[in-house]
Amino acid sequence: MNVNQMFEVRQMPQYTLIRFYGFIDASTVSQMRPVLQKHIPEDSRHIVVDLREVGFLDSHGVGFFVSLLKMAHKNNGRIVFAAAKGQPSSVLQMVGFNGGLVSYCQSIEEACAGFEKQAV
Amino acid sequence: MLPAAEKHASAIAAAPHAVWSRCATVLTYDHIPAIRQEMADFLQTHGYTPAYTGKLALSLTEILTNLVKHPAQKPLQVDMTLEISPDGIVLDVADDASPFATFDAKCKEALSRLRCTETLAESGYGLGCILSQHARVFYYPQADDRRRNHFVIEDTPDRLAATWIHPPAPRRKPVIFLIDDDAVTLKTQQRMLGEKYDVIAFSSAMEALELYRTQRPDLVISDLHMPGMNGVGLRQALSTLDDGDTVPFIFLSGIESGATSPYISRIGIDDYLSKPVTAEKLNATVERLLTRHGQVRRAIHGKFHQNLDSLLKPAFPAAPQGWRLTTLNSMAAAGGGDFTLWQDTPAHFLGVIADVMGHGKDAKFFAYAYAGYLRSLFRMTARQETGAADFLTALSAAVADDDFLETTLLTCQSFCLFADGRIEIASAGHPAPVLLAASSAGAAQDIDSTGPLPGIAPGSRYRQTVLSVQPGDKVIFGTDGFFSVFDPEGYRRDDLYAPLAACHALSGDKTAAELWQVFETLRRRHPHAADDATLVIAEFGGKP
Repeated sequence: MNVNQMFEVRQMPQYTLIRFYGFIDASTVSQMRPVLQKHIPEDSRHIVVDLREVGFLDSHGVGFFVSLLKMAHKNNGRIVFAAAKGQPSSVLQMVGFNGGLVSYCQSIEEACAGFEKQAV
Repeated sequence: MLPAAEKHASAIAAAPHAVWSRCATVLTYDHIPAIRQEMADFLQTHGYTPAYTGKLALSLTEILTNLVKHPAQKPLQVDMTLEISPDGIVLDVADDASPFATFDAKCKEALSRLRCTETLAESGYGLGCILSQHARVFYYPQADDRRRNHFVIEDTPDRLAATWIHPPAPRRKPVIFLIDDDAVTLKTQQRMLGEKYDVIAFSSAMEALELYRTQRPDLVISDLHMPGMNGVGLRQALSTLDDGDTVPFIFLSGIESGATSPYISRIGIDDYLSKPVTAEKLNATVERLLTRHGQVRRAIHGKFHQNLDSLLKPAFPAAPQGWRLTTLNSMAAAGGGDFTLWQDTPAHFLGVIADVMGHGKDAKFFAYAYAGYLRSLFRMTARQETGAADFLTALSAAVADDDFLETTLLTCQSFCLFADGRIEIASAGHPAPVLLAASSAGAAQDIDSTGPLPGIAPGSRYRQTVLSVQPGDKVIFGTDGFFSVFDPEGYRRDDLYAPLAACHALSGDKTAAELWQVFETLRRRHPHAADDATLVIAEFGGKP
C-alpha cells in the first residue's frame, strides 16, 4: 500500500479530520509519520481521528497517536478518536484511550459534532 | 449459533493437536503483517473468534517487532509455533538474538507505560499489551540446547484472555554450572552429565559468577582448589546473590579429607565427591539433589499458598444496612487472588471486591500485598462520606504513585449500600454486576458501571451508578473467575441469564446456591481453570 493510501486528511472549519486505512503498525507508522505531519497545518488545534477503516492497530500505532495527541495539546486543542471496531477498539481500551483522559466517540458524527457545537 | 464457550470447546475437540509453524530467516517490519495474517487465518480456520484472533495477532506482532527493533544482536532465525490442544493454546516464538537481560524489570516498566496517559509516552506499550491479554506469559532467555530465547504465551480453553498465573517450569534439561580449572577433568565430567543435563562449563569461578547474574543454574558443581577464587570463595559469593544460598552445590575435589573439614561443612554445601568419580555416582548424586531440592521447594510453596488462602478468604457481614449479603468463593491452587474489604458506618456500608492478576510472580503473594495495602487505604479514606467512586479514585491515584503495586494489575468493584434501598456502584476494570429485580419476571440486566483499571490513568476520577431498588431486588457481583465461566469471551452472558431467570422470586441465599451449582457444573467442563472465583449477592430487605 502506498503511503498516500494509508490516510486521508480533510481540513474542516473547526477541526482537522484524519481518516486512516488498513493497518497501523510498525511498518506503516514508519512511512506515515514523516508524511502525515506535512498534511496537518501547524496551527491545527482540534483533530478527529477516524478509525472505522482500520483493521489492525499495534503499540507503534498507539505511540503514533500519542504524538498526534501531543501536537493537539501543544496548540491548546483537543483530539478525539472515533469509530474503532474489533481489534483496534480493544487496543484503545487497553491503553486507556477510551474516554478518560483521551476522548473517544463511538461514531465520527458524534466526534465532529462536538467541535461544531463548540464553534457555535 | 453456539455460545462462545461451546464453540471454542468444539473447535478444540475437532482439532486436538493442530499446529501452525513458521520460520523466518529474514525479519523486518514489512514481513510482520504477512506472518500475522497467516497465523490469524490458521486460528480462524480452527473456529477461534475474531476477538481472540486479534489478541494473539497483536501479541505476535509485538514480539516480532521487538525482535526487529531492540536486540543488540539481531536474530538470524525466528521460529514460531502455535499449538492447539485440549489444554489450550501455546504460542512459542524462539529466536537466536541476544536475550533481554531483565525481563521482570521490563514488565514493570511496560505496565507503568501502559498506564501513563498523563505523561504521554510515544513508545513502550508493546510488552504491556502482551502481558495484559493472556493467561500466561513468560520469557526464557537462552533456554534450549541451541541457546535460543523463547517467548511463550499460553491460554487455556476456558480462559482465553484473563489473569496471569505463575507459569509452569518449561520442559527443559536442568542446567548445571560445572567449574574446574583442569580442562581435561572439565571435559570428562561434562560428557558424563551431558546426556541428562544442560552443562555449562567454566574454567574459573569468576566466569561462573558472571553468568549467574543473568542465568540461574539448577545446580552447581565446583572444584575445591582453583587459582584465583577457589570453590569455597565461589560458594560464599553465591550466597550473597539472589537465590544463591539455596541453589544445590556439590564440591568435587581430589582431597578426600576435604569432606570432613569443619570449615567446609560450615559453609553450606549439599554434597562432597572425591575425584576420580564415576559417571554413575556423579549422575546419581546430581539426580538425588535435584529431586530433593524440588520436593522442598514444592512443599514450601504449598504451605505458602495455604496460609495466604486462609488470610484472603473473601467474606462480608451478612446483614448490613437492611440488606442481605451472601458470599461464595472458591480459591484456586495458583493464579489470581480474590479478596474483599468492607466498612460499615452509620450512613452506609462500603464494600470492595478485588481480583489481583499476576505476571510471572506469585499472584497470591501480590493479592496478599494488595489486600494489606487496601486495608490501610480504607483506614485513611473510608469515612462516612466516602462513596463507591471516591474510594476507587483514591485507590487509582495511590496505585499510580506506587512502584511496587504498579507492577501488578487489579480489578476492583466498590459498592455502597444504604438503608433506604439505594446502592452506589463503581468499577475499576471489573466485570459488570447484574440487577435481578423481584418484579421483573426473571429479566436480568447488566448494570453499566465501567471504569479503567486502578492506576491506568493517573488523576482520573471514577463515576458511580446509583440505583434505588425495591425489597427482594438483588444485585449480583462476581469476579472474573466467576463470570468468565459463563462468558469466556466477554461478550455475552446467556448462560448466566438463563439460570438467573428462574431465581427472581428466590431469596439471595437460595439464588447464590442455585447459581453456584451452575457455575460448578460449567467449570467442570474446563478443568484447567486456574483462578479464584467469588460471587456476592446483595438483596435489599433480604432475610436469612
